[in-house]
Amino acid sequence: MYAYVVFVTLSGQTELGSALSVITPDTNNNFLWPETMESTLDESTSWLQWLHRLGLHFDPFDTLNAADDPHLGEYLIEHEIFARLWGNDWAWVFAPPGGGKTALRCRISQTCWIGQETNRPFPIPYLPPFLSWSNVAPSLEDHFGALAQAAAKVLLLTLAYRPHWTFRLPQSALPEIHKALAWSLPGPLQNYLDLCQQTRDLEQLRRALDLDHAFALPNPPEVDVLLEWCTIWTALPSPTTRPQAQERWEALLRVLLEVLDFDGGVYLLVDGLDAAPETVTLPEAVAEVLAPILAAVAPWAQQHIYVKGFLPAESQPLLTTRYPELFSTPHTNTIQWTVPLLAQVVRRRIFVATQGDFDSLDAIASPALRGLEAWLAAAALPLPREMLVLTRRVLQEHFKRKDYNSPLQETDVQNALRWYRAARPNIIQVDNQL
Amino acid sequence: MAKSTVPTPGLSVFGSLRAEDEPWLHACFTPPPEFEHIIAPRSTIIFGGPGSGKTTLYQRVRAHSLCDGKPYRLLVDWQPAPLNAGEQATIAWVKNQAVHLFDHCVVALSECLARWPELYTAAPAWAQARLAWFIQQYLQGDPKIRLGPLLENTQSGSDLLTQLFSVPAPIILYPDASPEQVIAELTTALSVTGLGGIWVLSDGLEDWSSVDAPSFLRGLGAFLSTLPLFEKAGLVYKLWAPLAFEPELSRAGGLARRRVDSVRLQWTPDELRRLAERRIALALNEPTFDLTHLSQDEDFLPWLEKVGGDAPRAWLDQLGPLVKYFAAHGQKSLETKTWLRLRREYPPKLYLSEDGYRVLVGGRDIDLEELPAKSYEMLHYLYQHAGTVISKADLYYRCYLGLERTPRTGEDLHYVSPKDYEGLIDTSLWRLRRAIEPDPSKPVLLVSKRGRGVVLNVRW
Amino acid sequence: MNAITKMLHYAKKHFIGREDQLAEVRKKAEKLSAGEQEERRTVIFTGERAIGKSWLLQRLAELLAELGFTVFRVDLKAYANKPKTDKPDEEVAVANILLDLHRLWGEKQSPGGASLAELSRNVLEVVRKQLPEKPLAVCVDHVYESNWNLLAALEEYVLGPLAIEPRVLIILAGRGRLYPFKTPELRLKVEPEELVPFSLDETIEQLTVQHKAAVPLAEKIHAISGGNPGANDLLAQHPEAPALALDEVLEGMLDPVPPEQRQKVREYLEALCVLNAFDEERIPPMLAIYYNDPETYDNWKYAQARDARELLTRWAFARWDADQGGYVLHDMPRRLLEQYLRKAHPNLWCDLQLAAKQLYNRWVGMYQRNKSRWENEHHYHEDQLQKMSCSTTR
Repeated sequence: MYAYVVFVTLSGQTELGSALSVITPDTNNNFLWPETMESTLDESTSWLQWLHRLGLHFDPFDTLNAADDPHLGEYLIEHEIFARLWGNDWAWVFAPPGGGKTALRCRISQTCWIGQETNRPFPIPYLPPFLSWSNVAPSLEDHFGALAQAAAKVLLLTLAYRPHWTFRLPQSALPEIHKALAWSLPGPLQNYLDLCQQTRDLEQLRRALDLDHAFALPNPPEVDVLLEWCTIWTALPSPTTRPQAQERWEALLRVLLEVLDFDGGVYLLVDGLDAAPETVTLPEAVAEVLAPILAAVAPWAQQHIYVKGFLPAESQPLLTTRYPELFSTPHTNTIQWTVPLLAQVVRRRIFVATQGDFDSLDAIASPALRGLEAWLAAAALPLPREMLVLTRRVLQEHFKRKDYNSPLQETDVQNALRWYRAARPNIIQVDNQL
Repeated sequence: MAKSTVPTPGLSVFGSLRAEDEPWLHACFTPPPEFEHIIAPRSTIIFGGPGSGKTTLYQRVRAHSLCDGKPYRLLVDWQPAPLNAGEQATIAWVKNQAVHLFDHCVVALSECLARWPELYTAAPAWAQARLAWFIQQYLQGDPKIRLGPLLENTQSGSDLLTQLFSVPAPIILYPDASPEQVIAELTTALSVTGLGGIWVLSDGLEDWSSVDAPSFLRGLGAFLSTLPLFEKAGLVYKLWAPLAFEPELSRAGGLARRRVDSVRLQWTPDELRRLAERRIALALNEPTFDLTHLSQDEDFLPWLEKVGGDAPRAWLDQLGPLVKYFAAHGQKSLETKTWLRLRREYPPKLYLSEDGYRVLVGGRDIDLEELPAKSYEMLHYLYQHAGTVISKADLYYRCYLGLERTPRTGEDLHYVSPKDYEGLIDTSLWRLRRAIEPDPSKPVLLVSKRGRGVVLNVRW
Repeated sequence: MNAITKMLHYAKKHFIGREDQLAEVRKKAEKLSAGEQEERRTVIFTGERAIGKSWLLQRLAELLAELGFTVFRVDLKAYANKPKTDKPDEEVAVANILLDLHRLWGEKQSPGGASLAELSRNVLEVVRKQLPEKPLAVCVDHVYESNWNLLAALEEYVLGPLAIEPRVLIILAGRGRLYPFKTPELRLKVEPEELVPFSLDETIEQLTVQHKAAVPLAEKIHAISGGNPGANDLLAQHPEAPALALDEVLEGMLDPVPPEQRQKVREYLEALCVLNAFDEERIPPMLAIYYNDPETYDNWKYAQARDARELLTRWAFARWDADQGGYVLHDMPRRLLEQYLRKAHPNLWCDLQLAAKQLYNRWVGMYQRNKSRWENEHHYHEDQLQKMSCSTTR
């Protein structure tokens, strides 16, 4: 029988609630650590409740990884760059780490899913699978294999979310799609169909396919419709052989562009080039990874396959020098985060989180603090992620004081700045961007 | 907090001061700063100096993952292997580490299922299939050898494990599936078993700091720069590392991009005081304790802060003898002279680093770069002869001049009158005391023995 | 009787002005009618209360019908007030909108659809079949006053899919916080426009066609209303008693507010109307003066002030303005409120100005970081007091 100590707090003070009354060992005279799950839950709940009191319906600074943020679509700023990316041509965006590349990529994916038809481009997020390859010098064949797998995963999930596409296809088209999927998925197609049938929940399918939140579409089909859809594919025979990677990739393209007839073509969203130890700091390594597919970028555009690359800023000079046509100005965009833009990042999130009630920390701050976002933006590294971390810290410093009857004070900001100065990450300097 | 009605650890709380030896630690645990970030479901690397409480925190994080004694997340103890000679920290090497990690996950999962087979049996069929596949696919070596005790005991879980290893599992992913894909399948399945996520815990990384730190750091840095391993919602890493690793590891891609948070264990004096008071209260079986009851000397708390620095262990080390005396003498506040005596008898622990340019005195990490060379050599000499009274003559001839023997009379070579070197030695000693003594005016480390010399009191 | 309900109903003969806006939409519509590409097919009209957004939308609907469009008009206010069912309000509202859209072509048979997604697909399929023959114009009123859940569902199932279609023109009108649409066609490829008050000439023209007898008072009316067409209309109906008219206009403005909250909202508005901006710190001292009850309001907690502020933002009388560093009342109600107070309660107006001046004087000393901002505010109120020859002490 154990009594519990509740001691989890932000300030080290004991929380109200269950307090230790007796320290009692077990029969072996061992003092076991007590349960603390509730206290942690209480803490996170009270943080959200406190935010709500401030006027925020959720914590807009919690998720640093854009791919996991369900509100990403509402936050978008830098409309000009989005507008240039959204179109029937290849395009590149260069930005430093934490500079918004993944946010833009996810935003493009989400935009492709608006509406329930195939009158938008089909997005394929392509993050080179370095771990799978065990190297950072892939061949074109390596790329084809990985591209095919990426495409197959998205296609399967999309077909599951839009069963009416399957239902209106002629019977003769189904085996081709089935084969294209079975050839390229990371595991047997039947496993995924079983998963759908047993869970009846496409969120589990999305997680198993390792696709990010941009692919959590808002209107999953009814259960009986989903089961009917599963039955159609289960009835088809699995292929017994598997062709080379290029053929697998081309099979999927045929399905997307001819069978399903995606009006807007295919967007190949290339990201994650800096995700390996070799590529994280070496532009040369990034260029080497990209080299095999760069030759295909222009010809693909003719076939309505548009490469959209979200590339590390440090690789821009090298790629522009080596491939001047591909990386010419009309195709290339660079995100440069200025103080006003960074302030806008925060203000936009506050606007969304308050459903438009206000769009600045100033609204919940003492009169001593005006232009707070600009102050923070000047102190943070010039990256949206850093701005979010610092802003959240300001709110956390306020929360720690447990003074629900006052707005943000200058001490909260100073404490946050002090913490940030000690906790700033070590980011490579890139020309005039940092 | 009411008084305990059963025997408490008593003064043994000031025993080894190592968390591994303190099963009652929860009763006086004080959360360090940033604790809420440390236990948040985000990958975190916690940097701390010696005695800063890393292992206590590690134990706390483990305990935090239990509910009614049952885990609600899969805890996996694991460390990346060091690079072999000539090996490069490449993505291929990282992949091997990932496979190695999966092996540890299988072992941890097997231990869980052996103890709580209902985690598996109550899971839906699709999750069972995935767990079975993962266990079969990613355990390295023979299950009978690797998991022998688990498979052979009489718990119901061992039958389950035996079955899991003997009945072929369906193929969930093809053999060329990426580690990211494996993690996605595993965490998806775990999420419906009651094990909501995997926490990989890496403690004891400081063991590498004396063996082959550069190579270890290169490998760990590469691992921490492989971003896909840190972008999975159901997989969290918690690493405890010595402060010395921070400059190198902070450059890793995962930290620079905030896939992994970095927290430095840095206690404020107020927090350390609270920590100490809770432990003393536990020792004395009291609900609370105020440090000023121990001594009302106005220099007591400043001394404690100076000696203890920001290391809990150093604080407790200094307080232990005082508390024992306090308890043995009717719990009356120590008189100043008693306190001064005890602090001489139990000076702060002193440790000179291998390269010799840093000395740890209690909780203070002191840089000796500013010390003149001769004073520095003197410290080395005294450290090598710790506990022995060294005469000024020895200090001069053997340390200062580097002679092998100390000349005793005017007939010996190199002999000079003590008047010629005593001032020099005194100055060097003064500089040393200024550098290392918490209170140079009342030395406790470098103590003069009248007529005989000086002794460096070193407690390990 | 509610003043707004006495506002003139729309009639084509009563419509004046807004030629630029009409021309802009006409140009786009003609391109679409001719089968040409038009990239920016969404037009957004915003503006303060009674500025004429709904009238403009109605005029545009007529115009587009004349140009051969099928016109679908939606007033989101109407859908928000349907009886509650066991489904979320927004689902019911959007389903009704889809059914109304479906009925546009005289379709009697239900489009079918167990779910909103299916209903949306089926209706959109019908729409697409009709588009080659006639382009479609969708005119949506009271967009930004609507609940965000409703707007999210509307975007997902109606506006988003329609915005992609090249032969669909979308016109949105609303007041308040702009909703962050995700669809590029609704957010990036838009022509947003804020309707401005009438010029004096336009006010005269308005009175000529709507209230001929009030034309001689056009200048006076324009000076009070600031050119707000709705205010012009109401003021013109009481040319003999401007203060009475003002009070009626103000009461009419409160129409959307539930009756049990109206008085409080009116009082808060009056208390704060002298300020260029306000926030939770400034509300209690102003209320203390307004109610002549410093004991209560000087001890107000932050949360109480926040509740008061929320009352005003919820009913779209105030919005956060980062440049002003606080919440600002919308121009038209503020202008009318100040005018009303100056005419009907001049001493109160003076007291409020003085309280504001003193408050900012304190803040100049307390908040060094933003000293210049509070100094400017202090000077503003000082000027106001001098203009009205108020006593500068209390």
